[in-house]
Amino acid sequence: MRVSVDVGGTFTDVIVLDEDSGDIQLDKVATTPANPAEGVLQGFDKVGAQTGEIEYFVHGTTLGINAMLTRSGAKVAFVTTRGFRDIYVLGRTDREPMYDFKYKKPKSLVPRSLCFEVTGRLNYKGQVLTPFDADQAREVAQRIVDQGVESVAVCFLHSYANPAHELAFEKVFQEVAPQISVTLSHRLSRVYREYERSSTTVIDAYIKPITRTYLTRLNSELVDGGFNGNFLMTRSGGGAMTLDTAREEPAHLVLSGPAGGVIGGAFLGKLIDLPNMITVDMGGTSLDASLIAEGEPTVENEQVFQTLPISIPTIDIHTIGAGGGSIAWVDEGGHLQVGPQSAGADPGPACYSKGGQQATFTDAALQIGFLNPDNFLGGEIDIDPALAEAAIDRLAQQLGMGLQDVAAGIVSILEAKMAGAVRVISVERGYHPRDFALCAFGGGGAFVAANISRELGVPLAIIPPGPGNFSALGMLMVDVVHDYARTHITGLVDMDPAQANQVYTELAAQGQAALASDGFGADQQQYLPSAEMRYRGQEHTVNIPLPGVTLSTDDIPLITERFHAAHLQQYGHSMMQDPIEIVTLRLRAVGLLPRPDLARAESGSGDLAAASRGSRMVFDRASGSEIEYQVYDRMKLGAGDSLSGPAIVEEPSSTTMVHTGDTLTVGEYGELQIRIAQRGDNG
Amino acid sequence: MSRDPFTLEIIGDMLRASAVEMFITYGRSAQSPIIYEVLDMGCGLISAEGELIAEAEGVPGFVGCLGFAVREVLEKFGADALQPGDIFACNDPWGGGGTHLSDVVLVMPLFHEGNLLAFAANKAHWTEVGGMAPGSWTTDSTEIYQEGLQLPALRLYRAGQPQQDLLDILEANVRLPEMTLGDMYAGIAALHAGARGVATVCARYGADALLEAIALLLQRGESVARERLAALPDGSWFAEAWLDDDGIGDEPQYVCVRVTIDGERFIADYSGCAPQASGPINTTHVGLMVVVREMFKCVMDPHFPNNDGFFRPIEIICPPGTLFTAQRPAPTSTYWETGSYAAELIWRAMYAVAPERLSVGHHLSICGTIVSGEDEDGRPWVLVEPQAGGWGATQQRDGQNGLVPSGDGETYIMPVEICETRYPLLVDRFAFNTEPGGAGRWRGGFGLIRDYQVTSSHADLTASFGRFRFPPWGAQGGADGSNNAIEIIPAGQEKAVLRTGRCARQRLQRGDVARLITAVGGGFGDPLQRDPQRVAEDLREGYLSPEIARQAYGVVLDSAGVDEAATASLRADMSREREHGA
Repeated sequence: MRVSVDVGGTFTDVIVLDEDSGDIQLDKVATTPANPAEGVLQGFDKVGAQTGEIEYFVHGTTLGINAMLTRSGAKVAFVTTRGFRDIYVLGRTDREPMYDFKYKKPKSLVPRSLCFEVTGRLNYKGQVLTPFDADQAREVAQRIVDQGVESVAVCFLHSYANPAHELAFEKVFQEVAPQISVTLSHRLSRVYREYERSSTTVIDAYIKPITRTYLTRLNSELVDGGFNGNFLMTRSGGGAMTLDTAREEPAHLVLSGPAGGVIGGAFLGKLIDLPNMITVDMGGTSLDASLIAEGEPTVENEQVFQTLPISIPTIDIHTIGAGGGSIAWVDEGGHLQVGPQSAGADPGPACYSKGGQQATFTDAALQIGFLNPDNFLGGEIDIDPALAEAAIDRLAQQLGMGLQDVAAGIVSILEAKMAGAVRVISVERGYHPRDFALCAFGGGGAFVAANISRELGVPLAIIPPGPGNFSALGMLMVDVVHDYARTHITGLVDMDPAQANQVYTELAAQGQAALASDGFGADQQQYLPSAEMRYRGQEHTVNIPLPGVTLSTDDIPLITERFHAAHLQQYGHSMMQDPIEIVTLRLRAVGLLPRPDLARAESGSGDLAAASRGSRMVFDRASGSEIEYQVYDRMKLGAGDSLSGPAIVEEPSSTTMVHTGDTLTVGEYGELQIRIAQRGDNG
Repeated sequence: MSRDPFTLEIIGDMLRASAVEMFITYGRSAQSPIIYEVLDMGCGLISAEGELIAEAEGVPGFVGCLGFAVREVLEKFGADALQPGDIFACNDPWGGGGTHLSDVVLVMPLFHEGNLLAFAANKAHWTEVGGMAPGSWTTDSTEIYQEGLQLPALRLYRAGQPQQDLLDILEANVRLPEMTLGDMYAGIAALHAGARGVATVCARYGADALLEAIALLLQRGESVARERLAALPDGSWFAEAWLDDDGIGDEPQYVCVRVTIDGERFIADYSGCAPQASGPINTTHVGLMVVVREMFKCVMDPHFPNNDGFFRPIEIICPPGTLFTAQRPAPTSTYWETGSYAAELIWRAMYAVAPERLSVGHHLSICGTIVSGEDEDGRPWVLVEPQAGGWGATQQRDGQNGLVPSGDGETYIMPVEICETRYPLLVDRFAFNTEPGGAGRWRGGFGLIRDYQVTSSHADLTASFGRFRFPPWGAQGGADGSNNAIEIIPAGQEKAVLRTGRCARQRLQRGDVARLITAVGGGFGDPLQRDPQRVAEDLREGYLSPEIARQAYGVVLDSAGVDEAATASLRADMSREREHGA
C-alpha cells in the first residue's frame, strides 16, 4: 500500500493506492496547524489506512515556505569571509518598482548583529590566498553559541570552487557546539554568485530546526502506530528524498507541496501519451502554473520565493494571486479589477454566508449560472445566491454597468490573468502552447480549463480524476532523486572529455553512495547527466541533456546541435558561428521505485441519460443573452462517453465547463479530455 | 468578436507581458556584463506615432527615451519608407538617444498585413562604442566626437537583411567587437520577442482591436495623470541646488527650477541654470524631458502601468545652451551628473507639496565606474558598472541601505564572485558605509564601500561620483547625509593618497586599491526625537558608536541598554543649548 499526504493551508489531502488493484481512495481532513502530524494520522484513519501495511508513505508540506512567509523560522547566524559581513543583509540593490521612491527592501532572515566574518580567502579558482584562521573561527563559534542561535549558515567566497574553508569551519563549530545544526553553502549549490548562494544557505538553516522537529515527531508517531515502510518527502526540484536527506537539506522542501501536482501531471501525461503538458492548479487564493516538456517537468536553477533567492534546482512553478476567492473591486480610474486580494476560506466568497461582503470570482460564476448552488463540496457548504448578487450589484452600480455584464466581466478578467500566468511558463520560456495539453486541477482548475486553453491556443484540456486531490495523487508517483552540480568551465569544441568524465566519476560516486544508503540496488539506479552551456561571452546558460556520463569527442556534434536548438527555442535566436562553452556539469541520480498502475475507468454505455442532471441557463458575455448548458454528473460517466458543449460536468469537489463548440470525451483512466474549439483566425 | 472594455484591458496586459519578455530575452542573451548582470537597459512597445504604450521594469531613464527614438526614425525616414524587418540604431543624445553614446536604442517597426501598427524598441548600455577611452564614456572628454560612434537612426537591417557595411564600421571602431555585436544581436532577439507579442494580439483579436486598445491605454494614462494632478493644490514652488563642478574644473554650478501646477498643467521652468559645461556632464533637451517625466510619474502615481499618455500634462521651459539643454557638440558622457539634478530639483520642489510621497535626499549619482586594462595575453578588458548607495528617510521610517539611485531601477550590482572570475581584480571588501551622517527621527540609509585591488601589472580607473561636495539633504530637522567619494590607496599602505569625486584613466599598479564610497542618505525629523530604543538597536547592529549615539541623538547607552534618566537629561541640555546657540 502506498499513501500520500499533502498538507495545505486549509485542508490535508490523503490518498491511498492499493498497488495490486490500482484502486485509489481519497479524502480530506482539516489541517491541524498546531501539530500537522495529528492531521496526517486523522487522514489515515478517515481513509482506513492501516499504518503497518503502508510500504511507501510520501509526504508534501508547505511548512518551510510558510515559515519563510511569516518569518517564523529559526534564529540563524550567518558566517562569511572577512570583509563581506554585509553581503547577505545588503542583498540585491535593485528597485523593481522603478518609479517608487519610497520602495522598501524585503526584510532579510538574519539581522546584521548575527552576521560574522572569519579570515581565510580563496580566489575564483579555489586557490588559497589567505589561510583559514581556525582560532578566529573558534571565537566566532563561541560568540554564536552565546547569542542563543539555533542554526548556522556558512557561505565563504568561492566555496563553489573549493569547499575546504567551509568544511574547516564546520569542524571547528562542531567541536564547540555539536548540538547546533550547520548548513554549508557548497553542499546545496556549487554555483557562483555569493548573495544567491548565501540566501539559499540561510533559507536552509532558517527552516531546518522546525522541519527536523516536525519530521522527527511525525516519524515517531507513525512508527508508534506500527509504520515500518519508507518515508519519502517530495522535493522542490522533482522526485522525492528520504526522511534523512530531508532533515539534512530542507531547502529542497520549499515547493514540496505544489511539486506533487506537477509530478502527477507528468505521470498522467505518460499514461495517456501526452508528454507535453501544462499544469494549472487553482485553489481558493492562488493559481500555480507549470510546464512539462517531453515527460519532464521544467526545472529552473535559480528562483525567488517570498523575495528570497534560492539557487538549487526547482520545478518552474509560477504562482499568482488568482483563485475562487479572488476579490473584484473598482480602481481609482473607475475600472473593474479582480484580485490579487482573496477572501480565502474565511470569510470566503459573499455567497458562503460567512460575512463576506465583497464579490469574488466564485460569486460571479454563481451569478451567471456556471455554478450550481447545491454542489459546493458536494453540498457540504451552504450557499446563498442572493448574497452573491447583492455584492456584485454594488460593483455594477459603481461602474454604471449591468449586473450580468459585471459578473461575466469578473470571470473573463480573472481567466485572462490566469492565461497570463500560463504565458509566463510557456510563451515567455519559448514554448508554444499549441504543442501542449493543459491539465487542470485543484478546486477551480476544471472550471477555467477550457477558456484558459482557448486564450492561449491550447488544443486539449485534461481534467484528471479526483482533481481536488490531484497533488496528493502525484506524490504517489515519485522516484527518489539527488542532484549534483560542479562548475567546470571549458570550450565545447576543444573540451577534454577525460576531464569532464573525471568530474562525472566523482559526481556519480556521490550519487551511488547516496542511493545505496537510501537502499537502492544497482538495477534501481539511473543517472541523468546534463550541462549548462552558453555562447562564449554570455553569462546566462541553457541546460542541455548529455548522451551519457562518459563523453567522447564523437558526442560533440550532437551536443552542439542540441544547444543551438535549445537556445533558439528559449530565446528566439541562435548564433551558429559563435563558440560554445560548458559552464556547469550536472548529474541527477535517480532511485527508481516500482511504478504503480492506475485503475482504468469502466466503459460508459454511450447513453448520457443516466448521467444527466437537466440543464441551466448561463449568461453569455459575447452575445449578451443566456445560453442553455446541459448538466451531467461526472460520477455516472464512463470511459468512451462523449458530449458536446455547451455543457457542465459536476462532481463533488469540482465543476468542469464545456463551452459552445468544445467536445468532451472520457478517457480510459476516467480523465475528461476536452477538445477546445479555437478562435477562427488563431494559428 | 465583440470589443468590450475587458478585451481591451486584456490586450493591454498582453502588451506589457511582451515588454517583459523583451527584457528577459535581452538580459539572458547579452554579452556585456553591464546588461546581463546589472540589467542596465529598458524595453517597451511604442505606438505608430511614437508614444510609449507598454514597458518592462528596467532603467526608467532608458524606457523614457524609446518614444523619442521612434520619433527620430519617423522624422528621418517617414512612415512610408519603413518595411517589415527594418531595424534602426539610435544613440544621438540630441535625437532619440537622450543620454550618452554608450546607450544604444534599437527600433523595429511592426506591421500587420502591410500596415504599420507599432514599434518594438529597447535601449541598453553597450560596454564599447569606441571613442577616446576604454568603455567609451569618460570624465575628461570635451566634445562628443571623443565619446564614441554616433548612430543617428542608422538602418542596421533593411527588410530583414543586415547592412554589412554598417556592421563592419561598428566592428572596426570598437575595442571589444565581439561584445558589441553580441549585444546588438541580443537586442535584436529582444525586438523579435516584442514582435511576436504584437503578432499574437493581432492573430487573436485583430489589428483594429490592437489600435483601439493602444488609443484607450494612452487616453487612460492621460486621464489618470490629470486626476492625480487635480488632487494636488495649485501653486508654484521653487528649488535650487549646486553641482560639484562643471566636469573639468572645480567651480560649483548653479541649477534651479520653478514648478507650477495650475489644475491642467505641470510646468517645470528651468530658466536661470548655469550654461552648458566644457566637461562631459551635459544633458540634452531630450534627456531633460525624460527625467522630468520620470519625476512626474514618481510624484503622481509610481505604480500605475506607464505609457506616454500619462505625460501629456507636462510642459518644460528651459532656454537652449544650459547644463540641461546643451547644444552639439557638447560632450555628454556623464550626463547623469546633471540629469539626476534636473530630477532632484523637481523632487525638492514637490517635497514642499507632497512630502508623504517621497523620501529625502539620497546618493543621487549613478557613480559610474570603469576599470580597464589588459589581461596576461594582452586582450583588453573593461568593467563598467554603476554603484548603489544610501537613500533618504521618509516620514515613517529609516532610509534604505544600498539601493541604486533614482535614475536606475531594476538594476543590480555585480556579484563579487563574478567580478573576480571575469577581471584581474580582487574585491577586498563590500560592506555598508556607516560613517556619521543623516541623523534624524528617521535616519538616512547606509551607503556602500567596495574596495577593488588590482591583481594584474596595472589597470586604469575612470569614475564620476557626483555629490562629492554637496551631500544628500535632510528635512524637518534631519541632518544631511555624507558624500560619495573615490579613494586611491597605494599597495601596502593604509591611507588614501587621493580622495576625489572624479577621475579619468587614473593609473593603478598591482596591489593598489580603488575604494568606492557611496553616501549615507539624509535624515527626517529631529534626531533628539528618535526613539532611544531604535538608537540602541542601531548600536547593537553595529550601525553607530556610543559616541555618535550621544552626540547626534542625545542617547546615553550602558550595558543594559538605554539609560532613560541620563538620556532625558542630555536631550534637555542639548535642546537648551540649541536654542541659546541659535
